[in-house]
Amino acid sequence: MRHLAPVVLCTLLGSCVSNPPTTPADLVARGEQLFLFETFEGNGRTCGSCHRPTDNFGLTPAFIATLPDDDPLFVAERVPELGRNFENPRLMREFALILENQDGFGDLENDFNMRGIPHTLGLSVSIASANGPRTGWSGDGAPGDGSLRAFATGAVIQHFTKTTNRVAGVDFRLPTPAELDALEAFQLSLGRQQDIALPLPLASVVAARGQALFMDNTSGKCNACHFNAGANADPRIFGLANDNRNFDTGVEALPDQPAKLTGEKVPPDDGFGVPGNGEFNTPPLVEAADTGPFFHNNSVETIEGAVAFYNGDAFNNSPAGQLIRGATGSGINLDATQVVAVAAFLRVINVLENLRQAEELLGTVQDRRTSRERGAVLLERARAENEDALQVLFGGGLHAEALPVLQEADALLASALDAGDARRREYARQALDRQRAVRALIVSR
Amino acid sequence: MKILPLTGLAFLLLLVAPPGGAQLMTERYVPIGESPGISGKESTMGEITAVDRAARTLTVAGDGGAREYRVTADTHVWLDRTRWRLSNTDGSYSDCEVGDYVEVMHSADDPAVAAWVKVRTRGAR
Repeated sequence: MRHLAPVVLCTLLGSCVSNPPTTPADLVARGEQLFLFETFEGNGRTCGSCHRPTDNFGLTPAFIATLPDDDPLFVAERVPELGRNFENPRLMREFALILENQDGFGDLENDFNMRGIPHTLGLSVSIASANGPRTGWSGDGAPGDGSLRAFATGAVIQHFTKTTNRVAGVDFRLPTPAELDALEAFQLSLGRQQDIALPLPLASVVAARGQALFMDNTSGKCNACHFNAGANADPRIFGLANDNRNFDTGVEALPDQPAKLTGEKVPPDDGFGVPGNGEFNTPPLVEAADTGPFFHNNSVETIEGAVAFYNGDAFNNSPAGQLIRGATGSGINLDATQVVAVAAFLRVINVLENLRQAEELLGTVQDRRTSRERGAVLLERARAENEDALQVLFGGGLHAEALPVLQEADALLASALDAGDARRREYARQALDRQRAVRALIVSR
Repeated sequence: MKILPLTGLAFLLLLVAPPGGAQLMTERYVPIGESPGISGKESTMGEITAVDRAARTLTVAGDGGAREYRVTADTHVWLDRTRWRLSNTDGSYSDCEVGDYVEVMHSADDPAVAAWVKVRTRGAR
């Protein structure tokens, strides 16, 4: 009966939740609870308000459209103290843009930017650089030492506050060091833990051609900055492994940006630093196809459009475009079929990552030690990954033969959510079999 | 494979690579002693024991002993009014007085230069 003693003690103290985790898994679990449920005594938002587990830990306009009006995301629409200079509800609902004051809170009326919500997948392989960690769209998203661990402190001050006075202890409380540790561990646990190794033996001739273009430094030139379709620069060119870099690629110079077409106030975003140098951080591409809209200002809706961006004047006249032109003798100039091929490659590797994540989640669901409640949470995420795989393939006209198989997997996952323990595990196993079959269709052996 | 020409590009980019990635301006709203990864590790916290207006220096008696910092035009000075339940504000070197409790973060380039100073105000000024 000795194992009951801590339970009794916890009950008496009422503080089990704040007990320090004892293993890395405990730390991740504690971080997940904080990420999804801790409001830090602020306006009701949590990290998960914007980084939704079933929306790839990001947030899209389509997902926002499913939320009730009393969701904490929309706090600026309900709370008078946050009615001005905290969010732009129209741009949030229409384009999933969030208001950021990364250059400071001194002039809330004029000094702000509207940015998309980046996913938090694959962070363990996408934020290290020779100049320290790169977090957020411009690589300088965190206060303190600029680390991912410090990020939550800045996020609470920016997004969780009850008023725009932003007084710690009044409008919110700051995360404790132990909470920062747990939040960091959880975020680092999400998604890929290593980069993929290109080239992959892809069955689709279009995706395979796209991969070749992606890796060719005379045509696509993508692999130079997105080595192995990740967030790091090619070490054979840049000299450093795992180096996540900032570039000024000219996204701000794009004409007809959707948010600006509304007539709403959208100040220029100067990127990294104060004042900014125009640079933004390189995101990983493996997770790109199902996490649009693209770029820091959600200015391009489709993955094809995002690839085509590098053909245009905005990129080719930018500092990054000019450097590429200077080094290789030409800018990037892909024809329409080539744009689609590169996008097809990005779609296919995204689906492979969807399937990998789903397999990981369903593996835990099948573990008898996984509780029903936990299993349901993981099943929902696995089902979202399956749905993403379906949509990403369908949207690119790729692997039509895989679509009915993914639909079967979806039906099985839906059944698993409603089933008892034994049936749930069996449905999960069958869904996993379907997903493995899809993987075999995509990657030729 | 035109990898070699791109090595020239890499060299250029390394030359223009910006330093560090911390979001400096949010720091103003982080109370003294709560800057993640900085407080208790990189910064000095304690009372100002001396101010030399001519040399634009201040001396802080921290846990590790007294340290003198030079305050330059690039140094951010913020007034921490958290305990007065007021929003923190921008300050200046002239706000730093002997006896004030401060946190000083050194510059990455020169540890004798203050990158930022947070001053705990004695009243709701």
